[in-house]
Amino acid sequence: MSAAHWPWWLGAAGLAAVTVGSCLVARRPFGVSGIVGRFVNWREELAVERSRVAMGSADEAALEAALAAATAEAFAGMTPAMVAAGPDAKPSLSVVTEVAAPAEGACGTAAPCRSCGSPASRPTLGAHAVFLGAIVAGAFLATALRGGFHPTLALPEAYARLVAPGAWGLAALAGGGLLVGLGTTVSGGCSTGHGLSGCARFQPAGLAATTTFFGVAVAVSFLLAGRGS
Amino acid sequence: MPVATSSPRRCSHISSCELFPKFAMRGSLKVWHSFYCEGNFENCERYKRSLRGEPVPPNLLPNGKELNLDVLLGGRT
Repeated sequence: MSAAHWPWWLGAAGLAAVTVGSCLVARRPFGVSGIVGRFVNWREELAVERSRVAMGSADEAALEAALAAATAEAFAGMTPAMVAAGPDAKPSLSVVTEVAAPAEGACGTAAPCRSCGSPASRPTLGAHAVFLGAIVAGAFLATALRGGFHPTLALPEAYARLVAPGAWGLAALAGGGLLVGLGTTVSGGCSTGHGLSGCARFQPAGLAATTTFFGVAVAVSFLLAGRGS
Repeated sequence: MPVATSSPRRCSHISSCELFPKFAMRGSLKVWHSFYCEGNFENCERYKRSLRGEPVPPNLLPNGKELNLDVLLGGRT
């Protein structure tokens, strides 16, 4: 561990401030993988943003008329009593699907989460691009402050000894990165979303995910340490 | 007969939903409020997409249909 690193308690305080701040200011759980995921689906995201602009510029009377027509179509087969009964009604709407309600947001993704209160409107793709850019910029800044930026493909000695040297070591890194991407997608969050946001709010999904990936990481570390000694 | 608007079942996404205030433009539109926003919100397509972390088009209705933007804009798009 380099002496240039912050003391652990200062880093922990910073992470806590970001996690709690996201909930208070953005009313959303803090998670990086969900934001990255938006850029994977950037075409759909941009299409939604364009339709938002178009909807905002629509004439109010036209919008009201379109909504009235859609309402008449959607509730055509329903009596006022059925509508008033709400969830107990059995509507004859062909477009209402009988799909079970999805689980509440896992607090590890960009999805809203009940424990952060009513979610704020979704930030734009541009806002999240700034956020991701700031992460990279912050990493560069921190590296510069600690003695400069010297990119290299050379693997650290400990990593080469414990995992694999040379090309195999790089391949293991690439494979690990791929598995991290798959895992965060399948589990609905990454170490930030589940570990920081999920655990901080006692979200079952966050606790389960963090217990799993942290426990496996500790076990694998011991296995590798035993092999390398 | 119970009145749906007095139901304790109220969608937690109302404050961020772009369509919720538009359903208050006319009395007849409030049927969306009583049926989905303050009732069967688990079946609202907007709610479900939001929970999945997916983008929610502003013209997406709770029943999964979309308002035609071309018609709304009178061919301006």
